[in-house]
Amino acid sequence: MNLEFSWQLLRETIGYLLIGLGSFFYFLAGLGLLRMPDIYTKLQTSTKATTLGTFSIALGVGILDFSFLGKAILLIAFVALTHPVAGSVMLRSAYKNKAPACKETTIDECGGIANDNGGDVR
Amino acid sequence: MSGSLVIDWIVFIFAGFGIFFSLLRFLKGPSSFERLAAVDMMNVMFTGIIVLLAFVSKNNMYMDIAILYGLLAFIETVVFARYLEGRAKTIEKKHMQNTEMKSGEAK
Repeated sequence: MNLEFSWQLLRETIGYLLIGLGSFFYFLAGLGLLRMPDIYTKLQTSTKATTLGTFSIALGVGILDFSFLGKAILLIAFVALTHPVAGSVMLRSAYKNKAPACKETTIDECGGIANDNGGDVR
Repeated sequence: MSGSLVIDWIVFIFAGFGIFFSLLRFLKGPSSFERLAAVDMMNVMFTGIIVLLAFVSKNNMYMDIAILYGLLAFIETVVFARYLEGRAKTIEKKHMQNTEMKSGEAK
């Protein structure tokens, strides 16, 4: 068995590890979206897990094939800009509509926003 | 290259399970916010799967498709979320008008 060091093998190992990690995080995001009790925890798990999954899949594909690396980095930057905004907008619309929280919830940190009519929020 | 083919199958199966769970949540979600969250997550996972397709088929054009799909998914999510939020605002405005009318009658 040939065990000498090669950059090709190292590159393929790192790339496939990143792709596997990303798809596993996609699986975990779907599972969290299916099993979590209320809308806030569902959005929390799914948004964060899919953001990390997309990061690592794009970076793994870029490492495996260097001709994809520029567009993969562009996609990563785009995802880092837009996915938290989309999650925040969805969460805000759910909170404004007074979506019910699960019964384990003990504290509402911005309890004034949903009930208060003043300020810049509305 | 059979080892990399097995890894591709495993990766696509994991991502497919993620999309399948999101689809189940979309079908049975009690409120429309959960359906919106499920659609957004499905769009994000489709973006990642298009990137994987670009790697499997060695075609550089799929990366452009992934970037455009991500842009359109973001616009879709923001538009639907703002629509649901605006619906809440109009409902609350009607409620406030009703309470003002009732208080006016009481006076």
